[in-house]
Amino acid sequence: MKEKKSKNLDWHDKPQFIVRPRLPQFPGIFDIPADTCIASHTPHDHIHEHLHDHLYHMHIRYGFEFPKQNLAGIQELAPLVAMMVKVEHRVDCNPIFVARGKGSEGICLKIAGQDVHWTPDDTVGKKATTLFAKTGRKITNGYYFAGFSTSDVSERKTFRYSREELLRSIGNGLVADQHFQATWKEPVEKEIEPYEVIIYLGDDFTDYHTFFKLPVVVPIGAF
Amino acid sequence: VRDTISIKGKQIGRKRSDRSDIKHFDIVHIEDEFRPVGPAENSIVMVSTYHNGKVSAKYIPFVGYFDLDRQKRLHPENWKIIEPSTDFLKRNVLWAPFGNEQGNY
Repeated sequence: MKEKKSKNLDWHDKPQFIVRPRLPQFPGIFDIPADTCIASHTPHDHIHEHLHDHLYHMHIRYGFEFPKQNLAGIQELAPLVAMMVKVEHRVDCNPIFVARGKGSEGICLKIAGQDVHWTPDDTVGKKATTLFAKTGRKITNGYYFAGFSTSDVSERKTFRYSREELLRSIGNGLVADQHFQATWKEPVEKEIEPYEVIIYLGDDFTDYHTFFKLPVVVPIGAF
Repeated sequence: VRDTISIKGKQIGRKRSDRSDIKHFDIVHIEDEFRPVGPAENSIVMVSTYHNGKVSAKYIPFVGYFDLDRQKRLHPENWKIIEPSTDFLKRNVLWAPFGNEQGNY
């Protein structure tokens, strides 16, 4: 009798945490208009959750969606993000926003009963660099991937979410906006000239990931 | 001649100085709004205390303890984390928000 060979898993049989980039959903948070993904600002009045309003900074903002999914094979994971920015800049993360709040503030996504925050994670930057190279592309000279993993509100260490917690949050699909702010590593009195930013989204458990580019000027027809 | 101000906030760290003219650098989280004469609410500043008695302060782009954790990991001998934070008040501070006279952190 012929021995039955095990079948290699197809990519769609492997655990996946699917995240899809999309245009931003909530105009006005941090005074960013609807059709803007990249915006350079001079210092301005304080806005709650805004990290660098007192410095020259560049907003990096996009929308994303966690579509309805069963998360089979996943026990827990931490979502990851990295963005390619200039070496003289650092990036800091805002929480994930699910609506516009009072004035220019955003309302934070909660998972597992707490606001979803991010903590800088150098291993994520390295992972994004490696995966980007596998696509046949190289990081532009003078740029690097600044990486982050999800954290609790202390923003000092990675926080992983259980499958159950993720399923409860995603439900039939979750749409949200993500904001980051780049600023000079050594603060100077100089505006940051806006530049396009490549974003990596993934997680620390599955192989699923995606790259996309945020343009300085969003093309006609995108909205 | 620039005016001097008071720097009031919570001290979260201290950096040893490798400069002959500076004693040490204090890392202070500013909790209240002092603009336009002083630092912004929720900013973090580095306060330099000189051997000659002069004190100056400028912004650094830190956003919290994570930045101190990272510096401490990279240069453990140079950095001290103060946690929980302590009240900090220093008068007659030369405020140069984007100054570079203190060098890189």
